[in-house]
Amino acid sequence: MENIDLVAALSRWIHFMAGVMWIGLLYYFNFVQVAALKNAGADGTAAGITKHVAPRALLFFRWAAVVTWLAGAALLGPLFVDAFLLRNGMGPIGIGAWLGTIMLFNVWVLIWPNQKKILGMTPASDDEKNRARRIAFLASRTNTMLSIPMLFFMAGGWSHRALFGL
Amino acid sequence: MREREIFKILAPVYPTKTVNNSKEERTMKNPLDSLWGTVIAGVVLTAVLYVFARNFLG
Repeated sequence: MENIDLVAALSRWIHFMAGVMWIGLLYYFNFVQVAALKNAGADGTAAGITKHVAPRALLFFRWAAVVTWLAGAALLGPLFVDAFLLRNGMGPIGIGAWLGTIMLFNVWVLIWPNQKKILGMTPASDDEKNRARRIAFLASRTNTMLSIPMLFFMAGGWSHRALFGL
Repeated sequence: MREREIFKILAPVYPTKTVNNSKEERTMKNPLDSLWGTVIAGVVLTAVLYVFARNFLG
C-alpha cells in the first residue's frame, strides 16, 4: 500500500510539473509568440524567434506533453480503464483524461510535423508551408480551447464531489 | 408609379430578399482565429461538458 502511495505521489508531482511546462508553453505560443511574430515579421526580426526560440520551446513543449500523459496514466493506475470509460465515479477526471489525450494527439500528429515544415526542418514548398502554418495554428488554438475544460475537470480535486454530486 | 408606392408601404412588412454573393459576406469567421473567441469557446465547452457530466455520468 505504501509503495502504491509513493508511486501515486511521485506521479502526481511529475504530472503537475510536466503539465505546467506543457500548458505554459502552449499559452506562450498562443498568447505571446503568435502576436510577437506578426510584429517581428514587420520589422524583419522574426528570425530571432523562429531560429532560436521556437525550436527550443517546441522541444520542451512536445516532450512535456508525453511526460504529462504518462505520469497521468501512472497516477490513474488501476483506475485508468474506469476513467477512460467514464464509469465508477471517474467520469469527471475521465473527461479531463480524454481531453488531454486529444491534445497530445494534436501535438504529435498536427502541430509538430507542420511546425517542422514551417521552421525549415523538413523540406516544403511555399504552398505547403502556408498550409502547414494554418493547420499548426488551428491545432494549437484547438488545444488552447480544450485546455480550459481539461483544467476544469483535471484540477477540480475534492471539489469534484460537490460539483458533480458524487 | 402606383405599384412603387405600394411596395414602399409594404417594404417593412415584406422585406425583399437580397442575395449577397461577395466573399466577405459568405465567409464565416472561425472563433479560433481570435484569442477571445478561443477562450469563450473553451468556457462554453466547459459548461456543455459539465452539464453532460452532471446529468449523464455516474
